[in-house]
Amino acid sequence: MKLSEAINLLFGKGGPGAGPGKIDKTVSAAAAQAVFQDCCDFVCRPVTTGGGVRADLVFIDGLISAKAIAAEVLRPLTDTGRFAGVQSGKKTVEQMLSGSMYGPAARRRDDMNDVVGDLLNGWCAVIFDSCAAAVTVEVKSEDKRSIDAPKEEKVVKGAKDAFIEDLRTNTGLVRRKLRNHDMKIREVTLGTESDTRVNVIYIDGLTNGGIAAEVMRRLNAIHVDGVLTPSDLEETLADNPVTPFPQMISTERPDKFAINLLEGRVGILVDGLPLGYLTPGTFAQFMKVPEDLGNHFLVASMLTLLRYTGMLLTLLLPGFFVAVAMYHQEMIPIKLLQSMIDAKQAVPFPMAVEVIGMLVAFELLQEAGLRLPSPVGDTVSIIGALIVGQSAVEAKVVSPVVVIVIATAGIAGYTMPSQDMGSALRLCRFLLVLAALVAGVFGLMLGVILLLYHLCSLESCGVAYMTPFASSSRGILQALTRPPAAKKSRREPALKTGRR
Amino acid sequence: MPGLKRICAAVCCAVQLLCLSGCAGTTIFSDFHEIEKIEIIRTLGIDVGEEGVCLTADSGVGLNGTPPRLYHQQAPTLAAAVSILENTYPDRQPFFTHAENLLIGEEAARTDISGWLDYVARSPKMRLMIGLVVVRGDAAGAVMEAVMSEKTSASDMLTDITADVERLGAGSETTCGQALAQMLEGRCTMAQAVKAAEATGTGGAGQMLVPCGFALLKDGRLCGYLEPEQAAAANILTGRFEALNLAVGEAGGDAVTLHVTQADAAFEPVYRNGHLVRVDIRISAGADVSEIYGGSVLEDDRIRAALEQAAARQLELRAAQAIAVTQELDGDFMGIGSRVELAAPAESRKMEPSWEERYQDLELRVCAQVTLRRSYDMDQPASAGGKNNGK
Repeated sequence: MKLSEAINLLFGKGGPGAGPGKIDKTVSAAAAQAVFQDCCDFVCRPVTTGGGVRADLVFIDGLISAKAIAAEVLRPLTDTGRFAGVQSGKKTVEQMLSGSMYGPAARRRDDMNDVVGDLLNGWCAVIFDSCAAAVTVEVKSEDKRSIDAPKEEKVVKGAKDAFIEDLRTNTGLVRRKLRNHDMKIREVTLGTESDTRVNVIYIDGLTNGGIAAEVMRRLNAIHVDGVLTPSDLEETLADNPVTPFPQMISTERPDKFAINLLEGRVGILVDGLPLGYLTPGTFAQFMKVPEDLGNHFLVASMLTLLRYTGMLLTLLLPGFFVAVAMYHQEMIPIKLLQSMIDAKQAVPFPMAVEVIGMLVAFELLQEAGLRLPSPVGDTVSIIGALIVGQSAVEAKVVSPVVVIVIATAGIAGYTMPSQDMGSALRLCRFLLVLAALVAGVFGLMLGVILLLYHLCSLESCGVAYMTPFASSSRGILQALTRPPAAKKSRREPALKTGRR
Repeated sequence: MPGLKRICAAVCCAVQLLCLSGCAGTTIFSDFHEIEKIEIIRTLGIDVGEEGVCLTADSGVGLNGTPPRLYHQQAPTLAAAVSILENTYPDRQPFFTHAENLLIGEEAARTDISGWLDYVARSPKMRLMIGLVVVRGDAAGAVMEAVMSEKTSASDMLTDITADVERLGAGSETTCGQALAQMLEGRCTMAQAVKAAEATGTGGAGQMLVPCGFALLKDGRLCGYLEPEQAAAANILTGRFEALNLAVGEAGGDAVTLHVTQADAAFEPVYRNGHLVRVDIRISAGADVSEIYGGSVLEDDRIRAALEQAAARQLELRAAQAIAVTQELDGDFMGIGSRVELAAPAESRKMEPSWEERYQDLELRVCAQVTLRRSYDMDQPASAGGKNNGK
């Protein structure tokens, strides 16, 4: 044995002839065993067909349904009536593929790489060493999370199903919303180590072909070890990975996914992630919720405007307060100013420290609430709020006006339909507070101008991020309000869809 | 390279912004105040002193009952006095931006006040809407000291006066901006006049401020006063009337008080051969009966007509007295000229000699008409309208 082989053996990298990433193309049971050496969930079971042909049944335990293997593969394969007179491996393969098997999908494989890929996707393989071929049958396990209501996107009036981790279930959910043969689903496999399946969905004839092609191009250009977390896809597909602002819409709601497909966007579903992505994502889209279509158009319009107001409040209110309280006290009405002066008399910290401290405390509370188990998390959040809010004020550690301002800004931030957008706004809020600290309203406005410049410079799959605010005036009304269904005429012009 | 340029640009912006910060010695935008260290000044009192200007600043009573504070400073100019005062108290820095009143002592008002009003206009710390008030018969600082107690101060009293003076018919508010604008147009102006009087229930102060008509300012100097009764008529003539109580004496054996709720003045210049010979001023007013001693007397139409006539005569008398005072001082303090010009613009432009030169000798004939609207009689329902009392 060579030294390298000994080292490989010592560290469990596989036996002679096998190494990481190296698979012999010849289909055989021995080759399969060599590939899955040191995998205790790999099962290899000798089988004799009804015609007396010897084969090996291999599968990965945990990915398959044992009942399905027994009923759909083993039983028909060992049936003497079915395979009587079929005495060669080659003919047995043909017989299996011609309908003698009960499995919904069966494939012939002549390359070991394909066999390995099928095994890892929940298929089983019947390997015939005599003809160096295998038949793989889909026998996926039914062990998966049941479809439940979305947890991150509360539904008030609408469908209450959400994506789960299983890709095919998710595509099924979308198919149920859009029973349209023009809805195409193209598959890409990403991740050299994870082999994660990614489906790209679009409506042929409606979606701009250029966008769909661009999405496919970007996906094929991804070279990563694995696609296991949302950031693996988001940061690699985004036009600008540095910006905190989301450039792809992510949702766990199939109805929202389908609505955006109808708008002309391209959808992406990833196996293992209970999320659907849509691109291009524009700023206005992150302010809309599917409930807008379920409410009366006036109510929906008012709520949309409320969200924009919340966005402005959460972004600008702390910075504006710092600027006015530190540099421009003349803007504060006299009674409010007197009240603020009186309240701040015993507080030992400067205004800047108060505001930043409260912002940090707010973020800490929020983060703590997310990490803790829900019964404890709720309690900690409430106690934290009481401690920070009530006790800090009574102890004169912080003045009441600062608590009110930060709380208002924080609550306004929760009106954002997109968590990603809300997080980006929270980050920018900090930066604007720092700008206001340095130069008052001048600094705040400079910060706002830089932010606007940044947002206007962003694109999402070739579409300007600030569409329609930076492009057409007609679309602005539709972005800020919801027109009556009878008057809603066009899809977003910026998406250049095939149908208006 | 483009990325490096962006980073350099961002760093340059950040360095420049540092210059705008509150860091000592590197500031170009040093308007930074910690909010708890500012003392809001609500009234500025100006007198003349040995060094030039005596500034008295009053903070007024705080929102939670904090006693008022007075700050005194002398300096050659108002700007210097304000600046010295700001730097004298670092822990309680006087903050002038919310000042509501500029109180000028009588002696100081007899000097040229346009310089102080100019400072108010130019200074970013002051606002043009600061009310201009003249203290009659005393110095501003002395009056502010005299009326101050733990629970009240000149600022609070002036706030109350400003809120109610037009309703009481004892004057009206003039802001520094309005006064300065009129002075810059070469016109005379009026400012609210107040004086110190014995206090009646004002939270412990020995004295209180009461409105006493208008101070008349010509070329930026005080030259006379309109008494409260004349000030009410001046409000009508200037179009700033709000309300007025008229005691019209006896009617059928009863004393009647009328509450005049509406009054307008119309100006009709009379020209002969292109020359202005007189101006007819017609005052029309509506009044309600607010008080009758002895019961209802309005059943009789003659009594109603007598009341209307008596009220009209009172208004005419007051207006005539106000006009007489202004003519004696040779200044169109009530802006009658602009109203005449509006009534006949073409003729006014051709007027020779000019209105200012003619004003002192011009006949201004006042004619008033009062209509009783409501009596609120307990015996009879309210009746609108009354007999006309035209001349």
